[in-house]
Amino acid sequence: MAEAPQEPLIRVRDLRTHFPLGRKTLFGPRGAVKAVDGVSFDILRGETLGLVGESGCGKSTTGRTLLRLIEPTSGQIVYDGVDLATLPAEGMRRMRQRMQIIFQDAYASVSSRMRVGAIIGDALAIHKLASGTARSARVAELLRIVGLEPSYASRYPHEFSGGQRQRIGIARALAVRPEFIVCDEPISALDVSIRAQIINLLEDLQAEFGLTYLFIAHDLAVVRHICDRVAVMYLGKMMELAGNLDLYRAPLHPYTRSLISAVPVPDPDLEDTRQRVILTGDVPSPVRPPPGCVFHTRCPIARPNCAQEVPAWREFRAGHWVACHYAGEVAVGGELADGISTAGGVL
Amino acid sequence: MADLAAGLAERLVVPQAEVIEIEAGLWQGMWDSLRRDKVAIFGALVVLAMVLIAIFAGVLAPHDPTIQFQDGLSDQGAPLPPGAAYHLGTDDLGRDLLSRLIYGARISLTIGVLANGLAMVLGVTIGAVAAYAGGWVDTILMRITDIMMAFPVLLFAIALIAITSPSLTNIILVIAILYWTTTARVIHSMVLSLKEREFVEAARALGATGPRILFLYILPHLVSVIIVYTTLGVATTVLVEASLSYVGIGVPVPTATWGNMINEAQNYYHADPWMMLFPGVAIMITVLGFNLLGDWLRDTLDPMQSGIRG
Repeated sequence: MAEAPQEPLIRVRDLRTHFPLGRKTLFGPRGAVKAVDGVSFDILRGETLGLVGESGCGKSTTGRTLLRLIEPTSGQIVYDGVDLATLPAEGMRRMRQRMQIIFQDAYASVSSRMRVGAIIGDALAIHKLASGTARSARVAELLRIVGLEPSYASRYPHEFSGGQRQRIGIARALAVRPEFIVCDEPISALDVSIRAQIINLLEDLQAEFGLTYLFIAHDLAVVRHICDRVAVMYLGKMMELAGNLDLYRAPLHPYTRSLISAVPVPDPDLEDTRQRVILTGDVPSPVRPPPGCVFHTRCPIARPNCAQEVPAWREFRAGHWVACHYAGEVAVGGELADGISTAGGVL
Repeated sequence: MADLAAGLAERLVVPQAEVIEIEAGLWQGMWDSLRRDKVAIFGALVVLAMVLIAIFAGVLAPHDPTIQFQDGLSDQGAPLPPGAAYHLGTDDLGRDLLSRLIYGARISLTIGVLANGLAMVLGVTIGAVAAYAGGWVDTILMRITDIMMAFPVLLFAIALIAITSPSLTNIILVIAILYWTTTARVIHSMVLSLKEREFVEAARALGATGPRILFLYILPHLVSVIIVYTTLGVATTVLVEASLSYVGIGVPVPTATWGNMINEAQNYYHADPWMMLFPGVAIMITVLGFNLLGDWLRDTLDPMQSGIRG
């Protein structure tokens, strides 16, 4: 837990990423998908920040916008004192050496026409880190670091299994010696038996190279295992952000609570007593998000003012951020009556 | 939860041995596929034969193609039919038809390969750059492509050659200028979809520049399409050269091309049909050969239709 007052590696302020729908018409723009709609958070040096939420909540878009793989619509991404959001293209290109990404689909994220050696080696070539035999040596070293045979450099991606491909993806990300890596659901596409290996590898690499991770996932059990702090997103907005233990033991936001209650407990006795908070309805359209609190349409404890007033992103306790008018009321577990599991909809 | 953590912490051995068997290489796969496909073999043999004939025209041709032989015309001054001295007969000026046909292969294939190659380079470059750059670059380049496609090709060719002059170089250039548009369109749409793929995003995340991504990451995925279009394009180009020669703006006489041979034969087709027949058949066989080869390449290099990974 990194609670010490230190300068964060990345400071995100009011970040928005909107995707315009179609061309502008005579009567103005046609609206936009508000994939990321005003999120603010810090990523501390050396920590693993988990980013969780349902599909389409904007967590991947947030990760990619941080690396400016997707251009932000507005807001600040201050990386070690430099605002990436306004950095010119060439400056951004040079900054990319310091930040990398590991993708969910390891096969789609490598060119099927390039050999493994070229895939990893090109990272070195782009930043002129090594050439000739030094490059081959470094590629071999990287393959060994991620637990692959150096001889695999001459093979094509389709010759590998899913777990091995993910290792190739990790080796490529490590090639430029980054300090920050966005892990975009790096284990979601893998067999369960392989997941633990990749998680362990990521943890070992973090310890060895002092990496900072933004770990995007929808598997709360994995996030709980690997992350120092966890942020919860819903419909393009931050719902809650807290230290790992704090968030799982005392979630403040009803949405976080429902997510955590959905995680099965390995102990059958405890599992029987697990109280589920089941949300009804679907995630509303990010083109026309609900007014007020975006979660009020599905919130079990919503009150009339939730549909009008946007809840402020506030530090409820030290290091525990939440965006909910009635955050405190959820924190006390006993307040959730049994009937709540079937409640929902607009109040 | 504790169980899970313990499970995760346990060191597992990396399954090194599970690397999938290396599949047969591209060339091996293509060779196997070719051997199975009789029609494709025919196409490949025709193309090979035409290339050899074009290269060794000097050795193969029984006569000089431009000499007007004294005995190459009948007593009445008419072209000779196929016979012992002139195997495929002679033309209206007493030149050996077989020799002209053989040398004609050289010109037709040269134009076919060069004009088409140039058109491919233009089309691939313009299509790929437009699609990758996007924005106003895309708009300008693709509107130019649309405008080019809207011109009646033959009229435009006649106009272009009329303001320059009919020579081999000019004809190659004009054909290239007229025929890059289809390629540009196809490549454009392919690059549009390729540039959204995750491996391109990964390359951008690494800090690769636009030209680097186009050449190293995207272009290798276009190779099979380029090969197919090049092969099919040669057939088209041979026909275009024939058409240009037929309307009298092709490679100037006395150089023999299949097109201008047909052009010269049009006044004699009734009395001396072989003058038109043989170059016509030569064009037909060549176009057929390239088309069959191109069809086979398209099927073989399409990963959806065959097991070969390119």
